[in-house]
Amino acid sequence: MSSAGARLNVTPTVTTLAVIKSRLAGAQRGHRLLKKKADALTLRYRGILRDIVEAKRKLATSMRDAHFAWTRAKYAGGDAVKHAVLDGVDRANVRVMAHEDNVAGVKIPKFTCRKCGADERRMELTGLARGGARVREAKASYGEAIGLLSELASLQTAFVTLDEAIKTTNRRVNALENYVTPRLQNTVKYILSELDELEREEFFRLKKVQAKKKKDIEETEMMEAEEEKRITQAVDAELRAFGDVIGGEGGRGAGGNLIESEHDEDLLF
Amino acid sequence: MFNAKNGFSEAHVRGCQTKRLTKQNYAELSRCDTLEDIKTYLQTMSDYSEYVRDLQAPVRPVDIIECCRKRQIAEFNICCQQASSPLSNFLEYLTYGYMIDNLVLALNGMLRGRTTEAILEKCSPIGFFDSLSAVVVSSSVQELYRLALVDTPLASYFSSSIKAEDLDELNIELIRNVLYKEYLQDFMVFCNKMDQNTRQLMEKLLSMEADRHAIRITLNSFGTELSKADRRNLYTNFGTMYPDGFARLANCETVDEVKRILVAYPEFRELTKSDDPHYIDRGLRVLELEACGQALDEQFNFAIFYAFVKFQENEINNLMWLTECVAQRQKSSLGEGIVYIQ
Repeated sequence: MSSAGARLNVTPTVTTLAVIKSRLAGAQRGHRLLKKKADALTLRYRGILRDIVEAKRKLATSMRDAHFAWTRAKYAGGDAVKHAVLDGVDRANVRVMAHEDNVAGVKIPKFTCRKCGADERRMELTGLARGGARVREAKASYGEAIGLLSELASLQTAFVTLDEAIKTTNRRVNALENYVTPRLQNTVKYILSELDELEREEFFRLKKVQAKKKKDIEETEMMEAEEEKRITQAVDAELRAFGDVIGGEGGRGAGGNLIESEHDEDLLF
Repeated sequence: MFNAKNGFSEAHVRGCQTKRLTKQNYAELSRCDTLEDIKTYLQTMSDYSEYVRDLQAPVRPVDIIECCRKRQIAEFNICCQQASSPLSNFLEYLTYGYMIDNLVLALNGMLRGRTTEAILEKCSPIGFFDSLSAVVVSSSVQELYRLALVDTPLASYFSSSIKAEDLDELNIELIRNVLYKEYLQDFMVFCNKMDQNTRQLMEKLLSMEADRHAIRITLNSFGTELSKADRRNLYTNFGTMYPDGFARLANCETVDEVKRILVAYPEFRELTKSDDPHYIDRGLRVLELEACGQALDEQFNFAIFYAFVKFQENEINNLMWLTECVAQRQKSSLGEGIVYIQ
């Protein structure tokens, strides 16, 4: 599903790294939990499958018996009993109640049959002269079949619901296992490598800076040395000039100008 | 004298009777594996061919039963059309049972607020009466009686036994059975006015029916809240077991008690031999058919028409059972529902 290098699009920083790492831990924990849930659901699923097969077998015989009991009633009571029974009913005597069952967080509908005995009494005398006992037998037989039918219905519904839930859970497990976790791991790797890279760059940069600093210092020193040399030379020249003034051109002697080196004409008034 | 007036009808009945499905037919039908096979068999090997011919695949059990009913009605109508009094009166009496069923259906529909069409659709055509649709629209018992029943033969049964307060939902089955009881009693009175042959045979058949009615009510009322007094009230005032047997039946609480009573009557002794509570019901059916078969052996009487209707009903029931068993792949149970006599 995910190519090997897929990763999240994040800025590689230490903060992001912490966030991603916590997400990775979460994903792994979630994966473990979901795996457990999937196992629990599958266990239940298999159990239900077994029950369904059994219930279907039972229902097949029960329905056949019930139907045949009704045939017996019709035989004993003639056609009139059919209409008497059909006309005698105006409200359902058996109600199916639905409630929820919880398997590993999956809500499974469950049906139970409940008899509301309101009509029990009125039908009692149906077929009094012809086939009444058979009608009651058929009624009991169908009652049993309906119980089984509702049982089977809840099993089948549970089966479908669980199937759906198992598929979803497995999809989630697989997504976590094959997509989310590798991506997060890749992201962590990426961030780490980026951070390393940054560190190396920083080190290199620092080295460069240091080298530059060194060079600068050297240059400064050299310049300083040169300056000093130049100053020394200048001082020397000065000194030499000064020595000239004092001693070298002795002609001007004492009257010589200390400040001006050139010959100063005498002034005549 | 009998032949001059009723000879044709009797011949028709006997003709139909020879075309009933036989033991061999049932055996061959039992070997069919699909409803299509049954249809093909009925079409080629029995008198049902013109009724099942147009059945479209897939064939359902109800379709075949529908065909049987059509045949039953057609055969019965021929009798009715040819009959003159007193045979026509006798045949009318035979339809009252169906009329009661229809009336109860309509009453049920009325209480539930069903539409007239929906109710009339369910009614049996044999027991149809003109004012049946009026039952549905009536709103009270008085109105019901005045609008719908006063012109029908059921009126006298109704007025003598049913009170306004009985007409609530719980009692509708009671009404059916009370009406049926009144009908049986009235039929008995009617038959006593007939000729010697008919009277003797019908007395036997109706007594059998009365016993059957009482025994079945007793068996079916176990575990219900039908009180013993009410139960007693549904028994007829004649019958092989009347009055002593009925009085004891009224107090029965279990199947075993019923059996203990039945043992005392030679004709019912056979019924008590099985542990299956439904065996009695089946046994009663067989007994009834046997009695009907005996009636058919006699000549110059009206009981053959009664027997004829019962045989028709039985054949429909048999085919219903057969087709349902085949449709539901329950062929191992075939034997328990098919009843025939040779």
